[in-house]
Amino acid sequence: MEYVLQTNSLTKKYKYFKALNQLTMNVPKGAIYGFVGKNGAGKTTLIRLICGLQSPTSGGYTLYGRKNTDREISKSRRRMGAVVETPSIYLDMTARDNLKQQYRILGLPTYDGMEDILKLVGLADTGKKIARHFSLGMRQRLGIAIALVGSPDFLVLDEPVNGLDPQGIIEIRELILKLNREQQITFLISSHILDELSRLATHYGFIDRGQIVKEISAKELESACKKCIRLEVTNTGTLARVLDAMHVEYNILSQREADVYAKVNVSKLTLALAQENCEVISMQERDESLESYYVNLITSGCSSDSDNAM
Amino acid sequence: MSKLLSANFLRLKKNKVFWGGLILMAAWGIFVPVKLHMDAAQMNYADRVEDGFFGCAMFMGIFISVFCSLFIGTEYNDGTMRNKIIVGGKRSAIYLAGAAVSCAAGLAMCAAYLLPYLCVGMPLMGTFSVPGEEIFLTTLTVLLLSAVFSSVFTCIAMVCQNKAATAVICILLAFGSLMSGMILNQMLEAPETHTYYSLDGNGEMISFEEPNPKYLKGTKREIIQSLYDINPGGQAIQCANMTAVNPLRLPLYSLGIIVLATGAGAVLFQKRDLK
Repeated sequence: MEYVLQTNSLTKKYKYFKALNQLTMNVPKGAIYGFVGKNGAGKTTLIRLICGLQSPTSGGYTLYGRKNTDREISKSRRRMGAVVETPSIYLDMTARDNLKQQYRILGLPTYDGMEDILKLVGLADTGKKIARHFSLGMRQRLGIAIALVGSPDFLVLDEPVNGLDPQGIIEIRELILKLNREQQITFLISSHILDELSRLATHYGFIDRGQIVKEISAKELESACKKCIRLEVTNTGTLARVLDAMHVEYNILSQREADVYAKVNVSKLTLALAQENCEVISMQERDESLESYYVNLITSGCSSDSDNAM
Repeated sequence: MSKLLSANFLRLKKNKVFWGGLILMAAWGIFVPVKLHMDAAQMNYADRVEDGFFGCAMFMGIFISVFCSLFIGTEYNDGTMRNKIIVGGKRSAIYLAGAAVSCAAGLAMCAAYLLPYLCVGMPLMGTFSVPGEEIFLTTLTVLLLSAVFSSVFTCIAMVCQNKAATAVICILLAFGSLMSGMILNQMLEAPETHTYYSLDGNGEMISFEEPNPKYLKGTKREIIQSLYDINPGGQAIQCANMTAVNPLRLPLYSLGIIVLATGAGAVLFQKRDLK
């Protein structure tokens, strides 16, 4: 698999505070990578490092196969765009002038494509209005437009829907999906709004206290989060036969455990299993949303830390 | 770096503070010769075109401090410094591009004063009465002085990420430099002797000279003179009054300050963690 970004034991210390602690993650090409963590987990710090705004204390990362210490890293950076925390826009300039600035910074010979970018983000009609008079949503969109100049294929968005109204959130989401689908742009989106991320991300990276707790694809997460009944039985082979007869979807986990992804009549199931001499040891309903998955993940991380401390 | 220069100059073209500064300097460049000529006519003395020609040196530092702190401070305030770094801009190139545009703006403000002054002053007051070399050297010193102010304030603005703090520091430094120059000037201008008057035995007034204890001499004078020459505010006063004791040293000191400020600023900016 090709990776756009790979970090290797990335650490960042500010005086006595460790914001990133040996963080290792991989962003596959073409993915919408949802970077999830609570406030102060290290999301923005990581983004600052990979954007070149700050240097790591130790460890490193590669961007399109180039190490951050490589002299030619700027060539990789030219393929990326980013909106870090707040949109980086000149408040005393119009949307067009802001884009013209970015065209000049990139050394593009003409302003071709500028109107298309403005249309894409919905700012084609702003005219002579300066960015200071834009709403928050418009500023966010202008920030994304600036990041899109030069046709990058990797976009880093740090909490892009912060402070937006529901309509604005939908617009940004649809824009991201469109760009990913039509232009195969890889996204790294950091957020703590899990519901929104769950509608976007193809991959997730969960960060807590400066470390990646887990990386998982959306498919794997979906499997992990599916509503199911976890059965512990004496013989999963028998269980499988019974469930097949009932036309119920299931997944055998081991010789004694299986997940059943349907609402089953518990009485009928246990009777059918009893007839086949199969006992039901336990039955648990599992209903994990991304939120509960994340909370469980972080909580189990915290409790294993306190166990280790003890 | 050419891309960054191009972007910076595009922004300079649209910068209201820059154009405001140019207009103010131009207006002042017209006002000063007219005022000098009217005063000379009223007081009945011969006016000289060079009397106020380098007057811009006195307040140039203040204009440039305001401009640099706002122009570069905006990059931090609006976060647009990040755009340049994210797309692979090298820190040294970003710094030098900022310094170059600040210098260009400073030189433009100088020119905005000098050219209108000449256009208005020469028809009113005639040509220069001092040698052309002196005018050339002083003009060069004034232009280099504007570059000194630009490089020092660029250094402060690029290293300090807070626009308001940058503006305060730069403006205070500009005033501080000028005031310290005035103090050093006063120390150097102290006369060698004072004249005292008293009555003799016959009741007649006699005068006698006594050495002035505040008069600087020897090594002390050299040190104070060197400080006066190195201090941009001191240079501004010397250029404005055309009273430079060491006219050849001033441009050299200026070049030294430009190199030091730019070098130090670039190194500090390279290491800075940006937010």
